[in-house]
Amino acid sequence: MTATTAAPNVRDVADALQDVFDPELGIDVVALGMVYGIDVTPAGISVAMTTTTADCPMGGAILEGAQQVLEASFPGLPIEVAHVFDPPWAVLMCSDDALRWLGFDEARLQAMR
Amino acid sequence: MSARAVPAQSPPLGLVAPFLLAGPVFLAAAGVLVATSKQEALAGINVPHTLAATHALVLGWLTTTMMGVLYQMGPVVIGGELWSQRLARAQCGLHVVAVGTFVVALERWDTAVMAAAGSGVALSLALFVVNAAAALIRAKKWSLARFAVTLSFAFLVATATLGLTYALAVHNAWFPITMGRLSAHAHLGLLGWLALTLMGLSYQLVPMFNIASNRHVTRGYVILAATGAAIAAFAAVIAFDPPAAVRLLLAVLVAAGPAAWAIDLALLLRSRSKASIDIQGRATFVSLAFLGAAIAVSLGAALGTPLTPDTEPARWLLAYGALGMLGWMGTALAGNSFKVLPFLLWYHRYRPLVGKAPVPVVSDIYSERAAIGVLGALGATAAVAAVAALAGNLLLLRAAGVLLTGTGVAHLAGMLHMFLPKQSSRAHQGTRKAVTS
Repeated sequence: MTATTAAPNVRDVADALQDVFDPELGIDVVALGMVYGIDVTPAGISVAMTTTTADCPMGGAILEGAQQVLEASFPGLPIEVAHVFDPPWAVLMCSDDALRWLGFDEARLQAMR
Repeated sequence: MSARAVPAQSPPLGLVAPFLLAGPVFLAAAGVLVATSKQEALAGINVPHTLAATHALVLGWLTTTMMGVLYQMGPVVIGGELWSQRLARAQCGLHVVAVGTFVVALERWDTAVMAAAGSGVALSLALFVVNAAAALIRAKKWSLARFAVTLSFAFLVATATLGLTYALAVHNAWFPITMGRLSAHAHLGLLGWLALTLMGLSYQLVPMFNIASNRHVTRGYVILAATGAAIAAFAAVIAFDPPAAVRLLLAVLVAAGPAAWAIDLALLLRSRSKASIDIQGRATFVSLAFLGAAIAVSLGAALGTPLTPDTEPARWLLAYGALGMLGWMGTALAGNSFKVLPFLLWYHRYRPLVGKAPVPVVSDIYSERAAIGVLGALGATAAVAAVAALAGNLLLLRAAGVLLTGTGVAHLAGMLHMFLPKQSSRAHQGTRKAVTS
């Protein structure tokens, strides 16, 4: 959550988004595989991200959180966070460590991968 | 397909929380009434003391909590705005006072106060339906939750109309309230209003909290519609005090829908992607087990005389009520209240801080141990009360009342604890890097 003064790159934006958690699952949106695209241009930062379900009650709050985190991390840069539904989010999009946090054991992880 | 991020909508904490906090107070009060039961409780469910305890549980605890849940779920899950937030706040005050007075009047069998307070309860229920129905009308798409709540509101209106009519009938000696008429009123309220709402919301919340995909939505609509039709048929026939064979047939008919829903929900939980289960998932499993027990006992209660001593015909009915109200609906609702209030607190207190400071996640806001304790105590109380009723053991029934009072106090304490300031848990911070690869 430290503000960056140099021109950010995609990695910087992804790092910043690791501070945005799904408040229900307790896992950051990057590890959950919810960030579908990051576009950094001199004109600003565009992020395309999804939520676990289209009608997730926390969906609006998560997107709002992403907007707030990026505005705090990259002050002065226009930020656009778009909610996308295609493809629909699936648990397979999570990182292995996120799946472990969700309670998956190694055998189930192996079977999924 | 994309859309600009829009701020999430949630009703104010001060609107929903009073309902959720008032519920456990009535639960504790019902416990006191059960703890002071007399031998007559086993003789008939229509004795004043039992009626007072039942209404403290159903109107005071279950209905008040469900109102809070629906004022939250209307905008957040079903997707429509309430008619008036100010009306909802006023209705909470009216409801608590009217139900409290009505329960005391029932216990004292003061028919004049029963009629007056019953009118207040009916007004509170009418205001609630008008206010929350706006969310149903304004919702943009149909869902199982919206469908079920629409049906359940019709049953709530029918229940309240019958209840008020009975209260006035008792006071004015218009007509006797037979066991059949009482049963019709009770089942319209318990199954038509509370159970249908619970069933519909579960179809939406269980997949959401457990990351499961409901691929059989049409089946859900069929189950909900069939359940609604069965309840209406049940109430229409049972009101005329039919013989045991017809009662048994009606019991099977009315149990089929919840049984099919339970199987559907168990399959849904089995297909979940989230391996670990939280308090809502635990409550769902516990409540489904109690639903099975309640259905089994309901068949015995419908049979009546062959299983129940002539001197204590209320035994199986009491056991059925304990398993259904405390075991099935109570544990499910308690589990959900440990999700609804933390969500509201997170939304209003911590959401604005995202990006500015470390914030807790929802599970940091409530104590998992306390929630499991409340769930366990409620389940134990339901089991003890059912066994006590079936065995005709008054002392054990009173012990269940003491347990119930303790559960109500513990539940209230657990809810109040959520309001204390919370920090982001160490586990959540510690795994931040670990879960990001």
